[in-house]
Amino acid sequence: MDISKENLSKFRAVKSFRLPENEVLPITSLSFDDHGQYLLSASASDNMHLYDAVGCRFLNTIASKKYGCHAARFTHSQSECIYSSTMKSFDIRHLNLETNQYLRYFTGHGALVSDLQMSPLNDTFLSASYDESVRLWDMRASKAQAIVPSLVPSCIAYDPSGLVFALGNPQNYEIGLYNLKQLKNGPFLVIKVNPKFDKWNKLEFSNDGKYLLLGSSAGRQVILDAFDGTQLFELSGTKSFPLREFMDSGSACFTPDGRYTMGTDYEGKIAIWNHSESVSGKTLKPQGYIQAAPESCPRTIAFNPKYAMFVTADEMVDFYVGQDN
Amino acid sequence: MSGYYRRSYPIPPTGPQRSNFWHESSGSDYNHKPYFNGGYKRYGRYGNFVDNDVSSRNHRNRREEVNDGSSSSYESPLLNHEEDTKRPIPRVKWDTEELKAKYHYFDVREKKLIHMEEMTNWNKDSKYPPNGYVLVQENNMGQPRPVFKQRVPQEKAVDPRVEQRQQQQQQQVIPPTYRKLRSKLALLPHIVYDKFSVGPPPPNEIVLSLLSNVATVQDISIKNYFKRYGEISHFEAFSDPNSALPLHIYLIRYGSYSGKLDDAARAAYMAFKDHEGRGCSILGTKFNCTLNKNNILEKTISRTVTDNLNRVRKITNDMKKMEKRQKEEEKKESQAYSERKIPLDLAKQINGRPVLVVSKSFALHHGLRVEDFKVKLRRYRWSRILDHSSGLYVVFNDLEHARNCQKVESGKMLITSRAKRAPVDVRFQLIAPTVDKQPTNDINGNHAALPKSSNQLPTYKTKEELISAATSYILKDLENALHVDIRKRIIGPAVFDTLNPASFPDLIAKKEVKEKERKEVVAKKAEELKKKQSTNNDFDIFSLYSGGVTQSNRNRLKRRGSEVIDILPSGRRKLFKGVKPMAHMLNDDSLSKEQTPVAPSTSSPFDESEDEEMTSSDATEYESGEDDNVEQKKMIKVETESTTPEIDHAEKPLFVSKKAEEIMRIPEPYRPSVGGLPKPIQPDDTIRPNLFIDDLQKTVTDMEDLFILKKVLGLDEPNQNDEKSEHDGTLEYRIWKLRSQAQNFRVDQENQLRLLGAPLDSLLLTGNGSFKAQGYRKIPEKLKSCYLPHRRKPHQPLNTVSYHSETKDGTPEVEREESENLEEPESVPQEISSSRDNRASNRRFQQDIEAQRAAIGTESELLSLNQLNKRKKPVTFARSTIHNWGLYALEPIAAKEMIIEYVGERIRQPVAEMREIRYLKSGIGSSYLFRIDENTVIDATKKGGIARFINHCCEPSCTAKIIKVGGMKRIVIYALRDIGANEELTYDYKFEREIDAEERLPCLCGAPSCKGFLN
Repeated sequence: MDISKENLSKFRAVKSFRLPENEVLPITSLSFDDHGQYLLSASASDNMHLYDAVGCRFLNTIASKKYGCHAARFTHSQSECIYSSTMKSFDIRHLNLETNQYLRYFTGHGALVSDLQMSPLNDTFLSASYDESVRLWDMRASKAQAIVPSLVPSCIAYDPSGLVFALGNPQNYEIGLYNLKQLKNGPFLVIKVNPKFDKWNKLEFSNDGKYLLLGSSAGRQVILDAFDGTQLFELSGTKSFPLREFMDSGSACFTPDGRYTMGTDYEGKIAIWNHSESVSGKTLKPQGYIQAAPESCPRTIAFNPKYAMFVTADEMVDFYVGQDN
Repeated sequence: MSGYYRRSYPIPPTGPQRSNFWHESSGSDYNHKPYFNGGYKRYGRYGNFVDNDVSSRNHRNRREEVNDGSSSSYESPLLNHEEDTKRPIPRVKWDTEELKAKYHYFDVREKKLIHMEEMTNWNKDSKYPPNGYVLVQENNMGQPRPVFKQRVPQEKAVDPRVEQRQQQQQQQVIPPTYRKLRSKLALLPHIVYDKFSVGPPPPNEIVLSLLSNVATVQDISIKNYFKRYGEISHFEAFSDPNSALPLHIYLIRYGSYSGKLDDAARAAYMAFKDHEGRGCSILGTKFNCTLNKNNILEKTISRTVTDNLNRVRKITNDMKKMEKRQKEEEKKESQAYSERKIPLDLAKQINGRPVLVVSKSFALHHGLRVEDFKVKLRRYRWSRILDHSSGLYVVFNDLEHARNCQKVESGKMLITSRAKRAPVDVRFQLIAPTVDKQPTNDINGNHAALPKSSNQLPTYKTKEELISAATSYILKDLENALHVDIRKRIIGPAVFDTLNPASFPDLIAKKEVKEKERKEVVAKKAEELKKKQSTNNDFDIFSLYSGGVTQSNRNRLKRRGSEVIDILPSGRRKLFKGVKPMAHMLNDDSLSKEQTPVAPSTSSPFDESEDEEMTSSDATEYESGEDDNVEQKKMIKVETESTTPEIDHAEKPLFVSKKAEEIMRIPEPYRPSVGGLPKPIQPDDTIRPNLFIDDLQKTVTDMEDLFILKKVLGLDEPNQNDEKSEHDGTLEYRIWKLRSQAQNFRVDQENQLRLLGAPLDSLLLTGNGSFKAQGYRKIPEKLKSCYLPHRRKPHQPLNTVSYHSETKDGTPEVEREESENLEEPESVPQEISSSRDNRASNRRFQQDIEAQRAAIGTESELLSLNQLNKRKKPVTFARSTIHNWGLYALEPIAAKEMIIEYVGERIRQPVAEMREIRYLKSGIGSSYLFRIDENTVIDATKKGGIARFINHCCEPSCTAKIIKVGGMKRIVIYALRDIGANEELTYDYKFEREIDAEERLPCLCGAPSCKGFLN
C-alpha cells in the first residue's frame, strides 16, 4: 500500500486493548521490532506487554515486578529486548522474551535511565539517564563503551544510517549531532532550536535520514533538517496533553517513508501532516485526522516499520490498520 | 527525553543576555559538560559560565539549590503567548504510594521527578575523566585490548553521512541498516474480530437475491449450498408482503460452533468472496450474493417488492389487452370455423358422427401428430382420430362426449409443440352432425356398404338370376356332401375288405413264423430272468399261511386288479368289435385274430399261452378257463425242459397234485419255495436307527410280521385285550403324537438338506429341545462341516473331469519317446496336439529372437521372453476351503498340462531363513517360500505371481516341478489329472516330516486319504 494522504486517512482503529481495571496504568514506551511483527509496550504497572502487530493480537505479558520497566526496546533479535529499571536499581536489563531469562545487566548508571535507543546498524545501543550522562553500550559487555556527559533531561536519537546520533536537551535548546565513530570528539554539529519551541521530549530521525523530528506532547512538533539543522516545519493543529505522572516520549512520529508525520491529539484523534510536499519554513496544519478508538485518549504513537498499521497508547493500546480501498 | 524534570534556572530577564548565551553556546568551546576542570560551572545561566569555588559540592546539593523556586518558573513568559500550546491542567490520577515508589514517577503539581535525591551523578566519585571516556580497542602486541580514552570534546568530529552519501552515489550500495526506508506498506491480513475489536462486528450474514428469471431451487438446497462455508445459524426466505409469494431473497446468517464471532464473519466473507462479481449458481438458478451490511437486505427487499408491483401492473395491463385481442380472434376464428365442413372423402368414415377438428395448418406448424392427440384425449370416448389434408378429425360416437371434450379441452389443452418445443394450446372446432342429415347418411352408408363388399361378385339384376344363382349354390353344396358320403361309406369299407388279412393266408403264415421266432427269443430272455428271480421267490413256508391275509403288495394287487378288470375289457371288446375304427382294422394283425372267437385257428396254442404266461405283466388278458391249461402246459414244459430243478423250482414246482394247484394259487412272492433258508419277501428296512411309528407300521406288512412283532413286544392276545382297554383313552393321542413327531423330524431333515445340502450329523442332534438349551460345548472339527457350507466341499468327492490314478507311470512308452525330444520331457501329453503345436511355434519364435539377439550381440533384457508365460492356463484365486486363498482353474485343464509358473524373488537359503523369521514377526502367517534346490529359494511373499496361492492337498490335482529353462531353474505347476473348471488346484507341498508335535501343521485338505498334517 502506498503511503499517501488518502491511504493514511483511511486508517481505522481495529483493536483497543485495555488492561484489567485494577491495573490500568499509563504505557510509558512503545517499540516495534525491526520487521514490524511484534509490539512491546512497557507499562507503569511493571509489566511489559507483547502484541502480535500483524494479527493485532495480544500475545503475552512479561512481568518485571521487582525492578519495574521503562523504555523497553526490541533488540535486533526478535525475541529479545532491553529495558530500563524504575525501582531499586538503575540497571538496563537484557531479556529474552521467549525464555523470560535475563541475558545481561548493563550496570553503571547512577540515575533513572530515561531512554534507550538501539543502533540500527549493530548490536549497540545508547542510553540517556538522569545522571547527566549518555552512554554507549555493546550488547556483549555489561560495562559502558563510552560515556558522554550531558544535561538532563536529554533526548537521544539514532540516524537511520547508524553512524550519527543526536543528543538534545530541550532546556538549553541545543541538539548536538555526534559521529559515533568519533565519539572521542565533540559533536560535529550543534543545532540551536528556536527557544520558542521548548518542552520537546523526543528526537526522531526520519527513515530517509533527511528530517529530524522534535516531538512533544504539548501540541506542537518541529521538523528540522537533519543535515544542517535548520528548522523546516512547525507542525500545529493538535491539542496539548496535560502533564501526566509518568514519563512520556512525545506524541508524534514519522511514517516509514519519512514523508508524513502522525501526531496524537488530546481530543482523541490522530493528525496527519505531510511535510515532504510543503514549502519549508511554515507552520503546517494537519492534512487530516483519524478518529481514535472510542473512549481512548492516545498520547504516545508508534508507526509499524513495515506494515500498514500504527499504534497509539496511553492507558489503552490501540491498533490502527490501513485498508487498501 | 522527558521534559518534566527541568532545572529551575531563572528565566533570563532580558533578550540581549539570552542572545549572548546563544552566541556563547554556538562557539567552538561549546561543551555539554556541566563540570569543567573539576570546578562547578553553572551552565546555561544567562550565558555566563560562573566558576564555582566550592568544588566539593556534590551535584545533589547543586540540584537542590537549583530546584529552588523552580515551580514558579515553569510557565515561562516566553511561551505564554502561544495559546494553543497551553497545557490543560493536569489531573492527579495515579498517586498511590506504590506508584510513587517508582523512579519515573513524576509529580505533576511540582513538575519534577520525586526521587531525585536517590539519584547520583554519573561521576560523583570523579573516577572518570570529566569529559567522559570512550573505550577504544587498541592493538597491543597483536591482541586487541580495550583502552579508556578520555574524550576531547573541543575537537570537532566529521559528519560521516556526507562521506557515506558520496560513497552511495558512487557505488550504489545500500547501507546496512535495520531501519529501512519504505515507501510502501505491507497490508495486514485479516484481523480476527474479538472482544478487543473496535467498531461493529463484521457482517456475518449474506443476502441472496435472484439474478435469473425463474427460481426453481428449493430453500433447502440453497441452505445446503451455503453450508459449506460454515454453520448456518439462521436462514430466512422472504416473501412478497403484497402477494405472499416468495421473493427469492434469502438471508443466511452464519454462526460458529465455538462461539467465536470471527468464524461466522469469516464464513460469510468467504461465501461472499467466492461469488463476488459473478454471482452464485445453485442448481441452475443464479443468485447475487452480498454481505449484509449497510441495510442491504432491506434495500433489496424493498426494491424487489416495488419491482414486483410494477411487473404485476404491467402484466395486468397486458392481460387486459390480451383478452381483448383474444376475444377478437375468437370471433374471427369462430367465423372461420363455422364455415368448416367435413370433407367429402371423410364423410364416409366419419359417417355423420360428431367431430372435433383441429386445423391442419396449426397441426403442421407445431408438428403435432395423431398420436399426441390420442395421448392427450385418452380420457375421452372418441372412436377414432383421422388425419386429413384439411385437418385432424377426432370422431366421437356421441355428440355429448364431443361437446364435453370441446368444452373442457378447447383452448386449454396443452400439447408440446415439436417445432417450438413449448406447450401450445389447441383449439377444437366441433362439427356436429346435422339432425336431418344423420338418418339419411346412416341408411346410405348401410346400403352402400353391402354392395361394396360384394363388389367382386356379379351383381344380380333380376330375381330370376338371383334364384338361379342360389340354386346352383345349393346344388354345389349337395354335390360336395354326396362325394364325402360316398368316400366314407362305400369306398372305405371296400378297401378295408380287400385288405383283410384273412384273405391273404400265406402272408399271415409267414408273419406268424416271424412272430414265433421273435416270441421265442423273448421267452428265452424271460426264462433267464425268472431264473434269477427264483432266488427271491424261493418257497416260503410262512407265505403258505399268511398269503391270504396280506394284501399290501402292490405288485400283487396290480395283478389281481388286472385280472378283475381284464375280464371286462375283453367282454367289451367282444361287444364293440363291429364298430372298430377302420384305421384300426387296417393295422390289425394276429392279435386281433387271437381275440376273435375263432380260437381253433391258433396253430400252436401251447406256445401262445406260454408266451402269454411270460408276458402276463404286460396285462394281456386271460380267458377265464385258461388257468388250468397254463398249469398243465407248464408242467409239460418242466418235464421237457427242466434239467436243474433246484434252480427253477419256484417257477416250475414239482407238485402235481391238487395241493400243488393250491400252492400255485398263492400269489407268487408268497409261494413256498424249496430253498435252504427262508428269505424275507419284503425288503427289511428296520435296521434304520430311529424308527418312527410310521416306519414301524410300514414294516409290518403281513400277518407274520405282526405275529413276530407281537411276540417281540410280549403281547399275547388276552393281555392285548386288557391293555387295549387300559390305554384306550390315550392310545390314539399317543399315536398321533408319535406320528407328528415323525413328521416334524422329516420336515426338519428336508429343510436341513435343502439349506445345507447335507444332513446334520446325528451327534449334533439334540435329544430334546433346542440347541440353545444345551449350553456351550466344543464341536469337533469334523462335525462342523455338516453345517458350515464352506467346510463341506472337501468332504464331497472332488469336482473333477475324471480321475487318472496313474499319471507318470502310466505314460505310454511311445509318448515317452516322443517327449524325450522335447524340452520338458515329463509334461507333454500326446493328446493335446494343439498346445504342442503352439509351443513348437513359440519355441521357433524364441529361437528366431535368440538368433537375432546373437546377431545384435547385446544381452538386452528386452528380447528375453518368458516362454512359460505363453503356456499359462487361465487360473484365478479365490477363497479356499482348505486355507485362506486358493487357486482355481477357470477352464478345464487336461492332465499333464502346464498350469502356471511359481514366480517370485530368487533368494539364497540364508536370506530365506532370515526372511521367514521376519515375515513371521511381521504377522504374515502364510509362507510363500518355495525351495528350488539346496541353495535357492523362491520367495513369492512380496513379489510373486498368483501361483503362490495354490494350497496343499494330500490328494493333489497338480504337481510342482522344477525345470530348467535357459539354464535357470524354475518352478512350474503341472496338472496331475484332468481338472474341471472352477476346481481348486492343489499340489503336495512335500514338507519334511516334523517330529515335534507342536511344529506340525494340521492339514485341512479334506481329501479321503488326508494324512492330517502337512509335515
